[in-house]
Amino acid sequence: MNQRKQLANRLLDVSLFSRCDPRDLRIVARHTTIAEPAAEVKLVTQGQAGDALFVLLDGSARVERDEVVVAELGPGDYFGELALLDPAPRAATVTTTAPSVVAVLDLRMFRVLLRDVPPLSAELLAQLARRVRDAGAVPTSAEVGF
Amino acid sequence: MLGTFAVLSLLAVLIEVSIFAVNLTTALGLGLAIDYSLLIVARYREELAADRTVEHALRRTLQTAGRTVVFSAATVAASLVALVVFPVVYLRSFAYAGVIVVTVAAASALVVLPALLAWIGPRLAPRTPPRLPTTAPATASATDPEPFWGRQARRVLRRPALWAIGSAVVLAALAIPFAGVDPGRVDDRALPADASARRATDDLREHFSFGEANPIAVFAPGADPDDVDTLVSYEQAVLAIPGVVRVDSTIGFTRSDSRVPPRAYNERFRSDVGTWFSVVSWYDPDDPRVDDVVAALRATTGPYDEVLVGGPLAVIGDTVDVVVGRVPLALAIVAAITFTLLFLLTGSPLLALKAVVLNVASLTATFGALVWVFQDGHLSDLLGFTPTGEVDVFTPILMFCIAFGLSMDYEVFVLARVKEEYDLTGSNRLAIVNGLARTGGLVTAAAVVLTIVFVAIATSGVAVVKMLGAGLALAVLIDAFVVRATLTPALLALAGPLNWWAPRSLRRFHLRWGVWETDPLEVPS
Repeated sequence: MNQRKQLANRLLDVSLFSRCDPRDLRIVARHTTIAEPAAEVKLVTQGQAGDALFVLLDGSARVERDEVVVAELGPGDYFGELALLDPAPRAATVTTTAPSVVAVLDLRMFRVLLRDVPPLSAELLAQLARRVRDAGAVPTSAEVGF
Repeated sequence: MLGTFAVLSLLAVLIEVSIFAVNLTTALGLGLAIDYSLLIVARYREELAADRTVEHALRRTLQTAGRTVVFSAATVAASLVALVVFPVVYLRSFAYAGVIVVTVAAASALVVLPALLAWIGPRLAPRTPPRLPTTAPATASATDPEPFWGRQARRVLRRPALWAIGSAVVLAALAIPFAGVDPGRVDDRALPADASARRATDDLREHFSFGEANPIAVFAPGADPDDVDTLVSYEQAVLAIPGVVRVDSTIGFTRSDSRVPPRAYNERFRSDVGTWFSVVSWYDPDDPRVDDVVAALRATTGPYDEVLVGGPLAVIGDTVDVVVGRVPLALAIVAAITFTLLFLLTGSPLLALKAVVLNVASLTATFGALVWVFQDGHLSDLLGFTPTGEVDVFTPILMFCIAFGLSMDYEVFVLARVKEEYDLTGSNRLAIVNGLARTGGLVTAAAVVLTIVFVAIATSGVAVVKMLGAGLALAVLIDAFVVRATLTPALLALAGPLNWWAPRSLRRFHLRWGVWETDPLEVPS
């Protein structure tokens, strides 16, 4: 099995790609760069411009906002998409806490795939909506009565 | 170019290579070397301006601009390979030389130039930072001064139909004379008026029966050179052809009304494998009616089963026929290769088609202007040449190789950037403006430098070389200023979202197998 196919199989376990079929995943894998950062490597720095989406395949990372840890990430989690969707500075710093394997998708290919792989954009929208709802920022339809 | 000459010399040991391959090597090699070097140096300076070290900047330059050079070189080389369909050594040499020169130019830009840049170090960094950011041009602030070509693109986008029609009219006006092209072969009149060969031939043409100096050779395989009755029968048939004045053979010098007995001179028509005839025409060799005489000679076998017509005049006619006859096939191959490669670059069938059509339009306009000047003789006094009423059949093909290569280069530079901008912004309008803003200066600089070189070539006293230089200068100017600066943005604007449309299956194919020129990611480790 070649490297791309292996990566496509691993992406199957990532929730962001759960609606994609194997052919979609092979396309995503073709445009993905694999990196293997050691522990305590800053992958994303708060305030900097975003240029990539990161998917944690192995290892772990912590998310800090204003030097306060706000989340721990494990295999299958992804981060960095907000700064790609809306070109604002990174909202948090993400640092590996163990030797990790990350799949990285750059800004251009992220946007191309959002346009050309509809299951990916559908799932991303669904997850963003869920996060907004969970954060309580927007009332649910039940709360407003429709 | 030295590298290409070396490889061509080696190739000449194995196969026949035309001396004119050297012309192609010089012009195309110089053009591509300038284009590729400008692309690499421009990108390298951008990287240095982003505070990268020399090594880091070079690595990123080769990962981005280097990839563009490889793709462009592959496109140009693959297209030039189509010239092998011409069964003429001269033109096949263009294919060999073209592929070699493209390969050497690309290799030099990717190996020698980076070594030089590393040696020069950070001194090439621009004093002021680039006016557009390298990664997200669409997000440039409104206060950034926009390059000239960005402003030009905005001008075109305000009235795209008007610019498209205006540019098309210019191209069409230039192209119209091409409809009357009369392909032929170069003769003494291509030389300067004071050249010895030119003066001698001019005198022959003016004061003597010039047809005598250019007889047509007819070979009758297996014919008996002593069979007088058969020889006479054949000669009478030949003399009945309009335009034939005399036939020389083993039986003497025969006109329709008389015959001079043979002399020792006539022994040259005798051979064990047959006999041959020297047919003298009334017509000058540059008279188009000579072609009719050659055709009639081929059709007139008389008492023989077969006759073969040769000699310089027949060779000229055959060469023109075989070259002109294969042009559609060669063009179809070039178009198919170009379309396929540009689709792999852009993922857009329409953009790939537009590139092919515009390249053809641009070259047709150039050829039209050449016909008007060099065939019809306009501006001949100003440019200092003698018009012959024909265009040398090989020159447009040589020019096509060079101009097409350069044109494809510019196309790849521009389209790669426009596509990148569209991918980043999703906006056709921003893609056009930013794509042109980021490549217009480069294309223009390359075009201006090349035009100066080609104009220098056009000062040659030899009309064919003059035509090559003038044609290439015109081709580069038309391509850079009419096609890239106005027609391309206008058509992109008019097509709108259709530029980026492709059937789903083709979109997926492109995503999987296409060529993607992305900035290298730098993930901390």
